[in-house]
Amino acid sequence: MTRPPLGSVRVISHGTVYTGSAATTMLADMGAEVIRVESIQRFPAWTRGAVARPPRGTAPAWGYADNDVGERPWERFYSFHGMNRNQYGVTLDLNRPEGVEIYKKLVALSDIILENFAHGVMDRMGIGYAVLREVKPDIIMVSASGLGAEGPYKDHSMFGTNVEAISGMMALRGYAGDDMMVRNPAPVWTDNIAGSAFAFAALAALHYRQRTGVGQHVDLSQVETVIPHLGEAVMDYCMNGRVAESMGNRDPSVAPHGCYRCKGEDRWVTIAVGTEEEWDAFRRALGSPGWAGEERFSSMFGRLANQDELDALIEQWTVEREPYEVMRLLQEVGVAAGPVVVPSDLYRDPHLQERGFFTEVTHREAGTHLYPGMCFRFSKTPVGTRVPPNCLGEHNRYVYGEILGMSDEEMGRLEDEHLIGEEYLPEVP
Amino acid sequence: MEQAFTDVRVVDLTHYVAGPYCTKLLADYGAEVVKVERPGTGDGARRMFPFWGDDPHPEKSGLFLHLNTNKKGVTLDLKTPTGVEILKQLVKDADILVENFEPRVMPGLGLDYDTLATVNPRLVMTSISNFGQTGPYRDLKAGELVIFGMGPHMFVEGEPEREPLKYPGYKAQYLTGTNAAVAAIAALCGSSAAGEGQHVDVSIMESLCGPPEGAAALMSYAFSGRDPERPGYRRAGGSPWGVYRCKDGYAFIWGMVPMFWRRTVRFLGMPELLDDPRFATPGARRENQDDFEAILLPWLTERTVEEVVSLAQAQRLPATPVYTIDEVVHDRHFNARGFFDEIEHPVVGRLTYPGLPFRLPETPSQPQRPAPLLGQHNREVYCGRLGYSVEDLVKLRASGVI
Repeated sequence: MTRPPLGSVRVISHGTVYTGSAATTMLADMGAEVIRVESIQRFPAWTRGAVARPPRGTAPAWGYADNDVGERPWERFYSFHGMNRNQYGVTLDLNRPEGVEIYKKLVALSDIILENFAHGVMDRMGIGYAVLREVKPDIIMVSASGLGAEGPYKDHSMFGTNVEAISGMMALRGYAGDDMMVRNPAPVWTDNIAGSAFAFAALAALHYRQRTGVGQHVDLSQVETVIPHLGEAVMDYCMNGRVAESMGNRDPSVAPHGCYRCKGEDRWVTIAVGTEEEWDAFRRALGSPGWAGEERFSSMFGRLANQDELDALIEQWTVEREPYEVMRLLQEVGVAAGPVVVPSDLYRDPHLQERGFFTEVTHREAGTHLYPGMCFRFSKTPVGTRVPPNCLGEHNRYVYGEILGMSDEEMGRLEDEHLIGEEYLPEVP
Repeated sequence: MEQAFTDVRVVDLTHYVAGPYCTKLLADYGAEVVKVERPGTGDGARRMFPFWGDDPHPEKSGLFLHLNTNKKGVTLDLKTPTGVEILKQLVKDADILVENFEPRVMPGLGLDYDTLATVNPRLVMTSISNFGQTGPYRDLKAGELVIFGMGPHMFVEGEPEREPLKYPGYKAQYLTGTNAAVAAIAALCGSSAAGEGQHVDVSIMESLCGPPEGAAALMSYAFSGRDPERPGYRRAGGSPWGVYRCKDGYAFIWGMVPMFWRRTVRFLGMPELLDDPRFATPGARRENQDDFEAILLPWLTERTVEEVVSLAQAQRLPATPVYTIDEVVHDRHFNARGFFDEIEHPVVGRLTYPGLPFRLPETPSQPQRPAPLLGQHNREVYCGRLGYSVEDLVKLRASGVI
């Protein structure tokens, strides 16, 4: 078996930002032929940078390959490179009737359309599900908006962190007892959840179609993909009327269970000691200090009740050691412990290296770098980076020429008329 | 009624969170999932918080009840030869097997992929683990906290002078469960075409490092050579951005980018700010952020969350309430969409559960079934599906196999 799992599936992706990009890349990694549709008229903010052409030298160049925005900054932006690979990139102006007609030809040859525009955008462009079903009756479309296409807030503007706020997750994220005002606004964990659920929705609909021949349009609300990941908090409220609060790094039934300072600048280790057997091993690994034999720490109940003191005593031991050393000493005796890593640790990590997680990729515009890989492995159909992150319109010739059978003259005309192209038009901000 | 995975049979050897969430997704969309638990004790999640009525009891864990809806439950001791034999019979006509033991366990039981593939060549075996089935960390011990710290998210969460923070609950495990469901269904699609299954290796650590968020953090380092700092809540990117106190709660406002400044001014109803030199350019606004927040903060505390959100949204400024979990459960939008499910369970009765992450319009959902009691479907599965007699069940029970 050499054909990858989704080798017979063609996907059209309008995936933007993180959620959409992650979902389409997962399908692409598993062998689907993904065609990413972009345009030279509209710059997708946060997908290929904040703006198309940040002025060289004036804007902070972090986030761009080798800290240089280059001639075509949109081809050098880190997040696009991190989560878009194995896809064919085309451009098409969907605001003109001819663009829509070409798009429909592509739809007629495709299985799945993924889009995460605000709800209603596809309809306004004249390529909503009702229209496309006429073109390809068994087409599957999955639309992932913040709050879904139905319901009182369907028109609300949302970014990933808004999704987190209204899902209930943000209120739970933080130090125990802290003020809600001090929640870090930056992380967008919900994009992980929604991206993966987005891909799963497409595959569920595909499986159904394989059996029945029937396509469908799935209205996915990103918030609703997140709430099940808070299931135990929902259940505690529905069962006991209890409203969960942030617990920091602690666990309701396990102590010690925390993050401790180590030797070095801003270095930390996590430790979780789950059973009495592990507690005994943990004490011995620390050299059986006197405090560890005290009555108040002799049972899980006691350790939970005296957790503040316990954590302070443990930190006196960890602060003398580096995080990887703590991990080794405790793992040797069967206690869960691990470093709190930064990206450079992960790039050096012997485990990820042995598993071949990072792959060297040479990109036409961004040069050669080590790229993070896939989160699943298939024993018989290994997946890898077949196509580097696509440049804008890079595969116009392949898709329009080979798949749709257009002539060179025809494609030349489309380029002249700016229906397709490989650079954003000069007026695009 | 017909569901997406009505034709899919799953043998479920999972416990705790990541594996059960994977098989819950398969079961919730119609797969016949047979969850195999150890006789007597069952899935460890049965002993995890929260408990119905705060009463620790194997049938009353809210975590277990949530993670195991729509599954059938049997007991089987895989450490006995008879138990292994019965499992192979279940595998024979299954499409997918999902397990999340430590990687050495399945081979130790004589249930490695190669053995199971001789029983059923079409089988898709999906193994979920902390670090994957290979590599130097394979057998390390890690729960949610430890594994979360070994991905790129934890270091940047929390205040710069304090310890890094994990995310609430079991975020890494839920995410990996979803990724595993994606991989299992894709592999099933491939095995239907090829007539041959395969072994899928899903690692929590790699899920944390994968797309989108983890991969973005790693790529940022690959491109810049710089590790991130832990920024804390400081609104370094501009204002308004973050959680703000209102009269009766909190709102999250995402408005720091230049293109949202005019919307922000209209939202506040303060057109004079457009002419204020302190706020004339994005750079000036960053510089005078404290001045702006001195205007913004008191204005917000005079208004309710609902007022703030609706005034902001009227200007297409992304603002949302910061909900606590009770507010999520009672919210009119989620309820209008019919998100939550009501499920009746023989021990804890009728409760509201989190609903499905999406609905498939071609297969409107059927009434959901509750998580199985320990061994609830032994007779149905062993007699009905595998053909054992009731007398056989008695013998198996007496010898502790089920």
